[in-house]
Amino acid sequence: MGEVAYREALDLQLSYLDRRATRRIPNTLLLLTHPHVYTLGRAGDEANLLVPRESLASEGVPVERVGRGGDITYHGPGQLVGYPIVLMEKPDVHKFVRSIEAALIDAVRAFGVETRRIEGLTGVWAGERKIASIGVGIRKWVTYHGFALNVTTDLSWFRRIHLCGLKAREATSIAEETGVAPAMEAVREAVAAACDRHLVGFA
Amino acid sequence: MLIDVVMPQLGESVVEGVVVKWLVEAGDLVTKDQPLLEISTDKVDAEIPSPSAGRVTQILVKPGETVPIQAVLAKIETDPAASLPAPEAAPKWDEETEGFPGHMARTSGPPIPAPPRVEPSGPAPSPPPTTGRVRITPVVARMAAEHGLDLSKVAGTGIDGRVTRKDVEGYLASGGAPPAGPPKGASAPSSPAAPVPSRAAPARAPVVSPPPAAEGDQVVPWTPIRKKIAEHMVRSKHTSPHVHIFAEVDMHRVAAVRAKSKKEGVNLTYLPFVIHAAAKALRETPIMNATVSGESTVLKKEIHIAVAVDTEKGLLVPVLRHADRMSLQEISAAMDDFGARAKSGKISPDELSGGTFSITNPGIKGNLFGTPIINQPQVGILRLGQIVKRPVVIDVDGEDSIVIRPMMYLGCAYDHRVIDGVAGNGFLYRVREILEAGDYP
Repeated sequence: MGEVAYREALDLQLSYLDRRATRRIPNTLLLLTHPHVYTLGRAGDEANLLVPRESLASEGVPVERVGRGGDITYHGPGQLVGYPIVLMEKPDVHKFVRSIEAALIDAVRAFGVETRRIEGLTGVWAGERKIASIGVGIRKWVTYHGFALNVTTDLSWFRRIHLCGLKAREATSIAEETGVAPAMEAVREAVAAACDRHLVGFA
Repeated sequence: MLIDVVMPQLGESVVEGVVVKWLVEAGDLVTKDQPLLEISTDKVDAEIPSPSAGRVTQILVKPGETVPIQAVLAKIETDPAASLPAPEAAPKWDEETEGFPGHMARTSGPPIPAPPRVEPSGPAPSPPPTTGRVRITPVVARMAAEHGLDLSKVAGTGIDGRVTRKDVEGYLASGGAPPAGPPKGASAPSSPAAPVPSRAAPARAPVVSPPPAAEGDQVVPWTPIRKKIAEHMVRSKHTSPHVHIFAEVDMHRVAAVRAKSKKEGVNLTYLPFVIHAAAKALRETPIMNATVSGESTVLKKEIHIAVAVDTEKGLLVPVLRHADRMSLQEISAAMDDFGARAKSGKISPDELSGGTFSITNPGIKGNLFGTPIINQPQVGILRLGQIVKRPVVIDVDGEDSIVIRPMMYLGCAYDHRVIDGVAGNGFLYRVREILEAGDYP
């Protein structure tokens, strides 16, 4: 979908969510990128933002508090954001999060990055560094929010926060891991195909 | 009809969630699927929609509370206007349970395919049947209201003992007396007009949560001291990453000193030797003789050793003050004194506090070794194992020889937040050296 502002994308998700809840549309995956933004989940602690809000505001970078799980994260150019709008007829949130992880692990393998889960830490990790964040919300038994995969993200943006509230955890990207910057379109196709395979079994 | 909003199963491995926020208040009218509250699990946050339209009558869980799945979160009265006509038969269950929050709507009435659940034990016991738990139709409710009836006094002949319209009519026709031959053999009242309190009893729900005990099991509620111990143990394990290390100590020199003392008429146990050695080693390893205060380690100037002793009155932990300044004989005498006074209950609270390090001696039946729990806010503890004669290999004039020696496993736990392996191991090694040297004046 190209670049969509965070709030705008949220409204979009909610309108898809409403339509999914009433079964007017099938399960849908929104794939897009955001301009620079920091978002805080419900559990988010502003102390994990290491620079003052004001200085970010002066750079035109908003900090949004949102209704997903998880702590603070960053979105911006070079990062593929996916919002699965999935009706959970048999809710299994752990399975859902694991499925997203599995899909992303699959998708980035095609670009030569071996990643893994870390027990207790939601997300996808290349070694000890986080390549994708996951934060899911559920409303009317439909999922929203989702994942953010760093493709060619400028990682310096992550150094201004305690990533996901975890001290001493660093972010990485496909470009950082491989030294090659893949085309966003190619990653998007791979992620879409992987989600198609993995995000099933919730009906 | 009063229905429960229960904590839904959010996944096979999800057993509980935290209530983040209520989006409605008691008394609010809600529509079906209207979000009632937000819950948070370890993975995701979710809004819980209302299983039905109605009025929220009760909110049972406060924000911040952790609740297991299937716990009742709130109650919703789906029939605020009891005058609406409704069929006598069971209502349209399918409508409410269809679709996927299936197991969220639940009433005390007809069986629905849901996982087995536990009756809520928290809130007050259910009021007598008229207000909820025994289901009645609106027709019956209206009749009861018109005639000022307490339905708990009307014998029900419907499903599950439900009071039907016929039952009410019969009750009224008989002038308020229960119909002849009630299903459960309750004694008939002496006067038909008089209230019949005894009949109210059978339908009442149990008040206490069912104890998990089977027949013959004994449920022993915790005493305040048991609670304190439990709390202390859990807190310690939560607070300190325990490292457990063990030394095998040859006690033959200590045994020789004991034998010699015995001949002189002084009975020494092994414990004073270990206290004595520990005090000496603590003086050389200050980090082990410390307490934690916030994010600081306080290296204690004095060495006060808390010694756990099993007495007839239970476990007691008297503190030997300035243990490093005491001779073996003084330590022994102090321990004897503690023991004697423990029997007569004459140990003051002051003597039980202020320890900077602990030693626990489980006694003759102490087994090979154990992994003691640190006595917070201290950072280390020693545990004596059973002393057993074993064949050991020693060096005799450059030759390996097998000899019989009284051996003891000495266990040590240290707080890895503040003590590194070198210091922890060095300390225990030193205790062993002192005991094996058997160098007592």
